[in-house]
Order: sequence, then structure tokens, then C-alpha cells
Amino acid sequence: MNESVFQVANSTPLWIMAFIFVGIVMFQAIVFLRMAKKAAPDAGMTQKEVKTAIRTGFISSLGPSFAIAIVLVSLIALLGSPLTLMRIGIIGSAATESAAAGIGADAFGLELTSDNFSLEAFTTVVWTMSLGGMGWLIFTALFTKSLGKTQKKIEKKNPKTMALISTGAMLGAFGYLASDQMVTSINHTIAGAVALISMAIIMIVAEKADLSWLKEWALGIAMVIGMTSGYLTTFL
Amino acid sequence: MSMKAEKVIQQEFPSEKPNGLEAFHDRAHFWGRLTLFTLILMCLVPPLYMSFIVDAHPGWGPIFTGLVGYAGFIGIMWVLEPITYYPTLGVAGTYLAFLTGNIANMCLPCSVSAQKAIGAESGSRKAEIAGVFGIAIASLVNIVVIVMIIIGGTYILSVIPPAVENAFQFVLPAIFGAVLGQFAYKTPSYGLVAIVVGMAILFSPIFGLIKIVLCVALTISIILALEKNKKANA
Repeated sequence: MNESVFQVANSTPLWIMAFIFVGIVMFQAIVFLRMAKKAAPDAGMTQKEVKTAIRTGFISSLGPSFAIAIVLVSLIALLGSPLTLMRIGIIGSAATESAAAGIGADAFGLELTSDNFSLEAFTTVVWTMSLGGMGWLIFTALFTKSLGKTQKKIEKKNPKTMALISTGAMLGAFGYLASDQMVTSINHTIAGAVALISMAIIMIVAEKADLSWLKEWALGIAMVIGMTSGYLTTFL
Repeated sequence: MSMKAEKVIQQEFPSEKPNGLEAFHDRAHFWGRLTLFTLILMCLVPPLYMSFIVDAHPGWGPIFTGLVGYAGFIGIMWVLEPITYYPTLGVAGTYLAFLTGNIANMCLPCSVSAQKAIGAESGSRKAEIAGVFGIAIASLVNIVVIVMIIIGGTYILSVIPPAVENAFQFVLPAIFGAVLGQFAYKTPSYGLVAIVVGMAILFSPIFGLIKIVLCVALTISIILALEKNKKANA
């Protein structure tokens, strides 16, 4: 990034916009937390279970957030801090948004890392990321209601079916995501397989010994064991 | 007819009051839409600022080319991703996850962990609310961590030993494997189905982006068929 682009990309107005994005996301999370707290008794959740769910969310999100942050830092050099914060930290994911940045730069006819990457090229990148990322937001804003109605229809017919569809959807998505990662290298395979097995063992132990705290830590522990095994086997 | 259906739901999940959650869903739609539309409008501010206040407008041609390129690259996911993840996220979870992003690598794992920690059955209202807690908290934690790292930036990362940073290259298979484990420990056959279908579709010559959707559709059909069989045999 050349000097003039760098200065605009890290200028105060863009920082202010980035913090408005942060504000919207935090506001939404807090509103939904309060809503869920109110609805918990109607869903058959006790106060204790609410606390457990909150603690589990907190513990489980630390590892993934940290992983996101590491990828993010490598993109600051390309896009500047505020845009990285807006696009990758929030809304998008590193893979999609860095591809979008490449597409935007390409549309202007320059490489992202090119020396004569101009302010106009940077603006094209900002447009591409912003408009492209809107697709998901517009679809979910407009059609989540219809999805909800479809769900209710299925539940009316047979409540058990929705439970199976939900389980199947999760298994299908993560079966694919895990396979896709695990074929990258033998170490990735080991990381995935070890995490899977550790999780199964942790959950079985937690259930047999009635250790509810262990379930809260399960994702964090399984993730660290998997990652460590993947990393350590690179030395073999 | 509807009376009958409600009775069935109550038998299935005796501790739930199905009507009590109507209000929750209405509020979720209202606030979900409001926050999403606010963010959509806000998304236009940085590019408009760059084009017309900084005065670095590249012309509409390159912007259009960029958008078309983006749509060609991943536009199909605008529609497919929300539908694919909806059965697991539910109404409120969808609004939360698509606003905060990082769905597969953060939101879903946290949602499932919260559900499993309290032993809520997938697809039940209890699971839906537990998932909302999981995702909303994850969204807040993620923002705090990211803002800290962006501001503290390179300093924080320089304190981390390189070994830890290197280990993080295996974070994705570890997260995805762990989430599979959360489902597989009770019904190992489900885990096996997921991996076999995943691998089979991964290596089949299908257009890359729709593979995950196919995988979800196929796994749902297999699970439904398996359960039907179980019932028939019982």
C-alpha cells in the first residue's frame, strides 16, 4: 500500500465508520441476549441452564475469535485497519473478503500489492466488498421470516422431523467442512480426527461422571488437543 | 387440526409452552430486520465516502465489474448459505450469525456447544434459545478480541510464542472435527454418515460452491431414512 492510500485507509472518518459497525453488532447481540433471557422459561430453560449456555458460549468463542484475529492481522497491511475491522472482523470471513479485495482490485485493473495501487483502486475494492457482502444481509433480512414459517409448517405436521432435519443439516455441513480441511495434509487429518475423538471422549466422561462444567469446556479443550496434535506431528 | 398439532408438540417436549415463543419470534424478526437493514445502509457509507468526499471515484464501470466478479465468484451463496444453515440456527440465530459473520468457524460451534452443555435436543425450542445465547455471546467476545488485537495490533501478536501461532494453522480442522464429535458421541453412526458423505462429495466432480449444500441435503435425507427405518423395525 503506498503512502497516500495508506493515509486515507487509516484516516479518522473510516475509523469512526468502523466503530459504528462495531456498535451495530454489539447492540444486536445485547438486544438478542435480553430477548432470549425473557423467552428462556417458555422454552423450558432454567436459570441455571441459561448461565451454563452463556458460559459455554464465552469459553467456546475464545479459540475461534483468536484464530480470526490472527488471520486478520495479515490483512491489515493490504486494506488498512478500519476496513479490515469492518469487513473481516465483522460481517464477512477472511477467505471471502480477501478474495473480494482481489476481485475489486482486478476490476480496476491492478494487483492488490501493486506499487501504483491508487486511491481509485482502493475505492473500487471498498465498493466491491461492501456491495458483495450485502447479498447475505439482504437475503436474511428479507427471507428469514419465510424460513420461519416453513419450519412451523413442518413442525405442525411432525415435530420430530424438524429435530432430525436440524441434526442432519449440522452433520452434513460439518461433515463436508471437516473433510475439506482434513484432506489438506496429513497433519490436518490428524488435527481433525484427534479433535473429533477427544470431543467424543470428553462428552462421554462428562455424562458418566455428571461433570457439567466439562461440557462447557469441551469445545475449547478438544480444539486445543486437535491443534496441538496437528502441530506436533509436523515434527515427525 | 391446529389444536391437535399443539397437543403433539406438548407431548414431545413437555416442558415447553409453544405459544410463549411466538412473542420471542416476533421480536426476533423485528429487531433482526431492523439491525440488518441499518447495517445494509451503513455498508454504503464507506464506499460513498471514498467516492464522493475523498473524491476518489473510480467510475461506475470498475465498480460494476467488481460486483459482477464477486457475484460470479460466490453470489450463489447469498441465497444458499442462509437456507443451508437455517435449520441449525433458527430464526434468531440466523439474524445474529449473518450480521456478525464467521458462521461455520465460530457461530455454529458455539451454538452447538451451548446446546449440548445443557443437553437440549437439536431442533427443540430449548436448543434454539440455548443457541441464541451461544452465538450472541460469541459475537460480543469476537468483537472485543478483534478490537483489542487491531488496536494493540502487532504488539499483542509479538508476545505470542511462534509455536502457538503455528499451531493455529490447524484450528479449522480441529474446530470442525470437534463439532462432529459433539454429534457423533451419542450416535456414532451419524458421525460416520457425515464423514462418508462429506468425503464422497468432496471428491466428486461437482461445482465447488454447491458441494456443501448437496452434502447437507444428502445427509438430511439419509438421517430421515435411517430414522424411518428404525421406526418401521421397532
